[in-house]
Amino acid sequence: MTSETSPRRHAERLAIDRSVVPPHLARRPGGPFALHRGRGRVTTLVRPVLGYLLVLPSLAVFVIFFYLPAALLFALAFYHWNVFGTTTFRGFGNFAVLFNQPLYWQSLLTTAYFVVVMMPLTTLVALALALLLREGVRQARGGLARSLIFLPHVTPIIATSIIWAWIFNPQFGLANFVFSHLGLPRLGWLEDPAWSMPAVMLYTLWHSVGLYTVLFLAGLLVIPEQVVEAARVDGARGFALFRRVIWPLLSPTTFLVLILVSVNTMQAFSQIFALTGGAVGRGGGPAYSTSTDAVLIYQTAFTYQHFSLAATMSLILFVILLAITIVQKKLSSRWVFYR
Amino acid sequence: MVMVRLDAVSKRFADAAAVTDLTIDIADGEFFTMVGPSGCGKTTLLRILAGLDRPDSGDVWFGDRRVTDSDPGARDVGMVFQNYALYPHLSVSENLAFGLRVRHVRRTEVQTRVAEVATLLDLQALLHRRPKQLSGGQRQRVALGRAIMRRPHLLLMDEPLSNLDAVLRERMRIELRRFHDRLGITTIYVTHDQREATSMSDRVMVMNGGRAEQVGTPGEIVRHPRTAFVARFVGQPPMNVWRASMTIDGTGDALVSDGSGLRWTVPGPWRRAAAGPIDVWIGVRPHDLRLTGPGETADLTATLDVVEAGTGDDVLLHCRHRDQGLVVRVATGQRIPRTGGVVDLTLRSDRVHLFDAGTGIRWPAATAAPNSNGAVAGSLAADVVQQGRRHG
Ligand SMILES: Nc1ncnc2c1ncn2[C@@H]1O[C@H](COP(=O)(O)OP(=O)(O)O)[C@@H](O)[C@H]1O
Ligand SMILES: [Mg+2]
Repeated sequence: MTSETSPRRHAERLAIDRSVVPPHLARRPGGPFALHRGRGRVTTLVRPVLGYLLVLPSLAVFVIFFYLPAALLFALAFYHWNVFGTTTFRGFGNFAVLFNQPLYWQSLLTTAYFVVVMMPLTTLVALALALLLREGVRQARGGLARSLIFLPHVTPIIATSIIWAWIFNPQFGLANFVFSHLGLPRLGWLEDPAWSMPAVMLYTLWHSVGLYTVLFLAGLLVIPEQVVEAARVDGARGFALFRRVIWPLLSPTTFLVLILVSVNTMQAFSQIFALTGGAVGRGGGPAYSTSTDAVLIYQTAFTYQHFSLAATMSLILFVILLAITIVQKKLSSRWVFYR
Repeated sequence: MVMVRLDAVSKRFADAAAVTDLTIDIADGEFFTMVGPSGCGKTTLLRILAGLDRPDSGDVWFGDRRVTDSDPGARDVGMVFQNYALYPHLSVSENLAFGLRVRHVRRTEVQTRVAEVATLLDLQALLHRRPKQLSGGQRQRVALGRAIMRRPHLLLMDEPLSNLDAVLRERMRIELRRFHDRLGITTIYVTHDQREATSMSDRVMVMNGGRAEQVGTPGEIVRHPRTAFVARFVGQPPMNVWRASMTIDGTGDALVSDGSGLRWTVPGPWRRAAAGPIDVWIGVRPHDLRLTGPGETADLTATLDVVEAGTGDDVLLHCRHRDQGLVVRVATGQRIPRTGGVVDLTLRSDRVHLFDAGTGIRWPAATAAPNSNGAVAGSLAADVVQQGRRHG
């Protein structure tokens, strides 16, 4: 309520925090291994070595299957490479080619559109479902509903995308059937550049919202019930109760969900490709309306065999993801409360 | 300020009854304590009063307002939860201010109130801390502060001292009582600790299995327990209670024997219910038993098992009498027999309690028609009878 940010108060709080650390865990001069001093030279030498030995297997797997390919990919971004083996260094040449491509810029915009809609949409729907389900859990009838909501998430994207492509069929699809019964206009969906992206979003929401709902449910379960009851006795109810108590205590979950949604949608490929006819040589249409960055990367690499250009696009996507995550993390300290 | 009335309140959970047909009146400004073993329905009753649970049947009245169906926030009560339940994401001052904020009280007014309550409870230095940066005692004070911020007319406390260490608990007991006297808020206090209950309350309700065993002042409850349960539950060390049979003679005195070959007379007048012997529980507090002096006849004989050093002024003798454990409190300095040996005991016959073996209710049973405070009426009836004898 008062100015929490005054430097002095901040320093005071830090001092309090430090006093909470038990003395035997407080930092000692001499680094982390100083604790083992006095037990003889052998232990001081063996301990760190043994530690590295123990993490070596998993570290090796990580290096071979993750860091190495990633490093190769990033290197590739600065070369021109074709399947026949001629490799030339191009510096930032690939970047220049990309930035002069309107299609590339459009794909970034399409991706941004996808991400910017999906973040609040998924979060709100998942949160709403979780709040409804929690009431169900209280009444011991939530188990089935919870399973039903989670179920789509464990279906294969390719298979269910094809089903949804039928649902979105303008002539015979379920979507327009429902729409016309509700008195809403029949839409072109995946055949209309204006509605293809919303169709992709609807499918993505259907497929992923169960996961986020379960995360929110878990987050709601760890909110101490008595704290909520104390707020009710204090006179908070309905939205005030949600805004002042539940939402702040749920913020770590909300933050996690936001990060996951942004990363997942930014990289989303399978459902877009399958819904828009990637299997029959199209994908990303109509009129590039669903050509997100990921779709474009795939097509550049595997349709046009332009591996180094695709590598460059991947590198840029990685940097964007990293930047967004860092920014979210930084912003989070303002609104996320960790107990 | 309010007079609280619970009218035939019952509450069942799926597997068991938590509160059964409970009726009590709590006076304006009273410090009223509900005490009983764990699981006897104390918290349930408090939650019904706060509006967090709804009774299955019966009504809750605050003064002449029926609040059975009102929202917790509309009842104007403050509550201290057993684990404090502070808002973990808010500072101490925000915790205090919460109830006023929700009610859109003006910011300056909120600040004034926070400052007042912080001064009252000595929280000024802690206002900017988060709950996790507080000690148990500090949390307890914040919880209390939060409960009184809105100047509620009813303060509910659910075992507020049970998470504190023994020293702090002793001190807070007195603090809480002083606090109540200063603010004059009607207070309903829940504890499982009978010492806490009898040391700080105007009146105590002893609960067992969702029912009220007795309602009365601490003195009434200690001196005239209405049931064998109350007799055993209140007092430390607990009252010795064992089986005996009783006949009432022509003058109204009770002749009691427990089959050990000894008989003794408990002066009455006891109400005569039957001609033959009646099965009873006989109850004697440890300090109402003593070692039989020279030239006296013993009321009881027992085997001495263990001698426990008491508070320094007294010693507890743990004895066995016919497979029945007996505790005797004697002053230090007395000659104490060898352990394993036989001790002769004398009881203060005017301090003997008799309970019907079937119902557990104090003998003689109350004959007054049950009213809203039936429990009190019962114990008072016994009281009057006994006093009548003393004066006569
Ligand atoms: N939410 C609940 N669901 C089921 N049973 C409950 C619930 N709350 C309390 N009970 C039961 O009701 C009885 C009284 O509980 P409670 O009021 O918490 O006792 P106390 O506070 O005196 O220890 C206990 O048997 C307890 O198991
Ligand atoms: Mg309880």
